[in-house]
Amino acid sequence: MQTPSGSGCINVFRDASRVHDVAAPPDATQTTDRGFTLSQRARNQFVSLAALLLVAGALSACSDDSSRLDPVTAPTGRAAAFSRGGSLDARDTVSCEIAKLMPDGSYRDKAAKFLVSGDLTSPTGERANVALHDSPKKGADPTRVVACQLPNTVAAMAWLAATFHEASDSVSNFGKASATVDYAPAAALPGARPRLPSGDSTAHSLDCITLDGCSDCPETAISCDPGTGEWEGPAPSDPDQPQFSISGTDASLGPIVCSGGTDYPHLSGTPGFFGNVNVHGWTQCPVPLNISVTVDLARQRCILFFCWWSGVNEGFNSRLGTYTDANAAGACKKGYWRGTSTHTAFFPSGQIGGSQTRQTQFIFCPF
Amino acid sequence: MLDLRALLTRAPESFRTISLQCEAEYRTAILQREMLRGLPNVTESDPPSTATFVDPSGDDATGADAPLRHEWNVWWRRPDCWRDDIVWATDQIAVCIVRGAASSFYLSSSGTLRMNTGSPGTIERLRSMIQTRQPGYLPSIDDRLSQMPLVRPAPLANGWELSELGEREYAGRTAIAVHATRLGQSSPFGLWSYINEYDLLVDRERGVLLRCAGMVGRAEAGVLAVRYMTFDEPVSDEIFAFEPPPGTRTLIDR
Repeated sequence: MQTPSGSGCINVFRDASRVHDVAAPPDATQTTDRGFTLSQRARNQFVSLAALLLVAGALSACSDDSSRLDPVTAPTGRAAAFSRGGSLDARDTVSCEIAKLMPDGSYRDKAAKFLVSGDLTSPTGERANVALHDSPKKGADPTRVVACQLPNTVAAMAWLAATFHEASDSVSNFGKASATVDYAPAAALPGARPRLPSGDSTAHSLDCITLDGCSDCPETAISCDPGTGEWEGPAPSDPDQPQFSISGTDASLGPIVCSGGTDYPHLSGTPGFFGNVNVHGWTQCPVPLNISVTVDLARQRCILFFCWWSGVNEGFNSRLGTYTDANAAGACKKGYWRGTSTHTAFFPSGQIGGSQTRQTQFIFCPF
Repeated sequence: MLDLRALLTRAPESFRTISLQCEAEYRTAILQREMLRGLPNVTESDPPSTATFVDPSGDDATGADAPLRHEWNVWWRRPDCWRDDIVWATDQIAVCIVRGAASSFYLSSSGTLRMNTGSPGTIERLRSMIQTRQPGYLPSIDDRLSQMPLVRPAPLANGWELSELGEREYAGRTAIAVHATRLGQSSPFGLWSYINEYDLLVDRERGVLLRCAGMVGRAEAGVLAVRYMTFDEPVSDEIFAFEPPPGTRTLIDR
């Protein structure tokens, strides 16, 4: 993977699933391929980025002919630019990460404290709703992903990245920030969002940022040597590499369909339960959710022509997962038995969904 | 010659602690289709014997083909300290913590923290006097391992046909690419009982899975992929303590 390549380089993955990294200067803490560190030196260089990028916009040969470069001056005077073909859509989302710089030079994503939240407005007027999970106490709560409703231009994305860049700088010990963008080609909208992992031919790509003479970045470049101005390193689109940035977290969830069912009440053949009437209910969802099932077993009782259902037993189970089931059993008596299951799921939207299912069966007892 | 089945079986024994960040991505349209395909025939009754239900606020406009993603972070200090967090893009989070006999489950969407230790507050005591409630989910390590297939892939060693496809580098580790096909009577593995083929990347040194893709035809219906993983590094006690946000309702289940 990428190694620090010297000062002044912003390393930008050409893959849509990776947006940008800033390599640390020699006097800064070592950086990884997933983020950047901020030293005073890097900061100064970032301040000068605005001017450089205006030039770079004209000079950049980073992208194909269809790409465009959007230089943007961030509110802080910093700037960044991305170029790519196509344009982002309001449906797109951005995720950003901020990680804590540990004394040994590693990064710990799990310790982020409150940095940014609320609505932000970019210089070009787009609004980004930014909600950063907080770690309220002890630094132990590991949430840190920022889900942002994406403004509709790449320029705003650059601004957002710069904003986070500064935010991370304002809190001690926070040495890394990265932003990733998950976007769909305009032609595919409305509808399915392409999967981001590299190699997806339908995904557009953010191309590169040019800085300090590193103006040409080939397809395979992820790292820039300021001495030579050459980009080096393996292609981030290598499918065998972990796709760190598929965390283009999608705040607008598609429909999740769960299912539930009740099996026929039946004579149990399980050792120890033989002679019991048993009913089984289950709930399943395609993704791990907090799901539950309650199954009620009832027997029909009649006096003359009047019949009613009398509850015999109840079973319950719940789980954080994709499947859960429950049983209810009662001593066998000849007649109609009914199992009724209530299924629920807590969806990631915050909503609760559910249904009820039922099966009735006439059962003869063996003794 | 590498004994893949032994490697998979011994995976949890190869470390004292593990911390991993994982990304989960689901093609819900495919998964739902497969899930519903396996359901028994619906009988005519009211309510029916089998039913589906949907997220009432699900965004149909997003399209059923849109992948659904969340993060899944795990810390396990063997043998009896476990935590895993599922973090959705909607800010919803689920936290399972097991520490010895103590177990807790926090679910942000319901605003509840269930525990089997501690004593209920006064309000909760009063509430329990007038209202009975269902017990809720309290995780165990075994249950969490059954749901999180990357850490303990041992079920694959029994009843699955494993085809090695060569070595490759992934997440900075050497991995063996494996295609697993469910045989007749196999151990339950993974999140979906109706998925019969998986493309896997098995860590060559530790036996844990670095990537697990449930396959339907040639499509990846669901993928769990490690983003970051460490072994045998200290996992502090703080990880296994969770302080819920203000306003969380604490429920004590014993």
